[in-house]
Amino acid sequence: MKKATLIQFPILVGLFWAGLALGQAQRSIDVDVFDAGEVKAIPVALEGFTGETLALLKFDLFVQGFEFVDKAKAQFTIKGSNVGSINGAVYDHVKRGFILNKRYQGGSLRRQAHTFANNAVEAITGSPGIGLTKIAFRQFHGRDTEIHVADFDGHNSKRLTHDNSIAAGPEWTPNNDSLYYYSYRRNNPDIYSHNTHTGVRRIVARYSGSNISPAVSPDGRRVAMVLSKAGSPDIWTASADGSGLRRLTTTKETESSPCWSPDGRWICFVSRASGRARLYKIPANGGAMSWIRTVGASNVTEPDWSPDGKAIVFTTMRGGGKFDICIVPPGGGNVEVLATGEDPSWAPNSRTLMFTRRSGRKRVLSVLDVPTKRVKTLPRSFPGNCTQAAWSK
Amino acid sequence: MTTVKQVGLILVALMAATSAGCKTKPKNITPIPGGNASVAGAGGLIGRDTSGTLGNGGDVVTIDDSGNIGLSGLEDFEDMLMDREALAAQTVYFDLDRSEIHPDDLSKVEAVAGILAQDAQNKVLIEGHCDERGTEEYNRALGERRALSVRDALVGLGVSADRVRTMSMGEDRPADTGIDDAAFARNRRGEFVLLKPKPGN
Repeated sequence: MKKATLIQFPILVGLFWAGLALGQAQRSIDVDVFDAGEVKAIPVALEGFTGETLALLKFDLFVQGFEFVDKAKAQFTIKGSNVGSINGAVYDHVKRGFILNKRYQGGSLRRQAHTFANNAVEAITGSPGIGLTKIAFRQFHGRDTEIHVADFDGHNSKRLTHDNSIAAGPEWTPNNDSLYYYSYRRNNPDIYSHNTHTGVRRIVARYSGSNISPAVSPDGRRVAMVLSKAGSPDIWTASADGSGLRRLTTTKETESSPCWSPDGRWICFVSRASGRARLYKIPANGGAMSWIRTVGASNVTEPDWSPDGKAIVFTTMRGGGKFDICIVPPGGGNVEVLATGEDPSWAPNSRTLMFTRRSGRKRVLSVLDVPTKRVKTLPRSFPGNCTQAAWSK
Repeated sequence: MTTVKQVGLILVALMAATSAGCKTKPKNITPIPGGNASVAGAGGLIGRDTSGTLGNGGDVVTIDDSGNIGLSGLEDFEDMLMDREALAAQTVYFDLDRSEIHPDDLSKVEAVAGILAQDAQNKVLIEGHCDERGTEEYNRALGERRALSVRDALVGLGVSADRVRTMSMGEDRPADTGIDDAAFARNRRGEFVLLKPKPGN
């Protein structure tokens, strides 16, 4: 019995949908992101780990809803050692027994530690961890920006593009083999697909005007993007290779930032059709666009639909260069402010977000645990500003 | 170039209708020869990008039911010399989060149209720029909308749409790196770059 149950952790009752059946609840700790404010981090004690491994485990666990306390107050003790390789175990203070005990070998010590963190998260919550995920992002090199790829905590960063121009807007394909992004390398913002393993790069859209903001469909077969070839920035779709172009919006006003619903049926985007920047959705196969009401947020951009389909996060522009990360149900409704920042991207756990924080002229990537609303800056810092993080699938 | 004049007239009519405050609905738009009359819903779908093609075998300009004038191919602008100085004095500026051309700047657009009228070989690139107070992708789209507004104005003054290229730089190429309102105002702009044929082409 690896998974925590509702009865065993009465303190976590607040985590659940009020109407969630007990039977469902016992399957795993299913944190509802809309109960944010109510949710407390899971208190754990860490023992035996040192140095880089300790820092790694603390970051991985923090951004997935854990906090670190004395053993006396802990629900779980996560203990082990990192001499040569990782040994790790999780002790459940309520059940009075170990729910995980593993040794790790092969790969780097960091990879072993991320894997152990994943195992610990899954043993405690029943949900897979995000320790082995990656991010793609836009890094500034003076006036130019390039696409970089790194582990989700910023380590092992590698530069993907050397275009010496503006490269931006990276998005992963569902199998995480390739990135879509746009680059001005040929003196126009054109959309490319770029296999990160083979290095093969292909043009997806190069038309007059803007070819920007690509988003790959959940089945990997289509791409949504913003093109202005018809004389206005509109939402278009195409096959993954750019063929079979189809124009979805025909407004005179500006559309931007498309993203897909996880079932692939809808594309959510921003339009100024009403005079203000608002969220809309449109059937991916074409149809009428419908407004997604964001009560409490009036000037919104950069939506991202959670992989579990339950929420859309976005940025509210409050004016004066101030931005908030907000969350709303996909059907629209009251908005909840989660943190100060912009351009959120969901982790595959539908719980954690990567986003950009501005501090003066500096722009840094930060991570937000949505249910507990706690924020951590990436532990690895970069020489240039970093923005537009896209979390791997 | 009768085609161009037709486009210009239609555009002027559309702009007049819009500025008079009457929301142009697809049904109210003068039918364009070859146009696709069927539109599903306001702001909805056009099945294929086939609406409103004007032209007679030469320069083809596509106008959709919202009055958007399609852009011609990038290949029309490749291999041209970029002269950033010639039209540097004509840079136009925008209000915060807006893409309409300021009335005070119309004379600059007219000046650009006049310079383009002097040599039919020349073309123009309009770069749209933003200040840093929007999000990055929003600014990228807003910069393009600004460039397209300037383009629409040029076309309204009789410049052939296929001589005008647009490119948004978003917030990435500020004219002023300051962080006060005056700097931001200088960054919300549309710059004109004169495109000339390379000698020998």
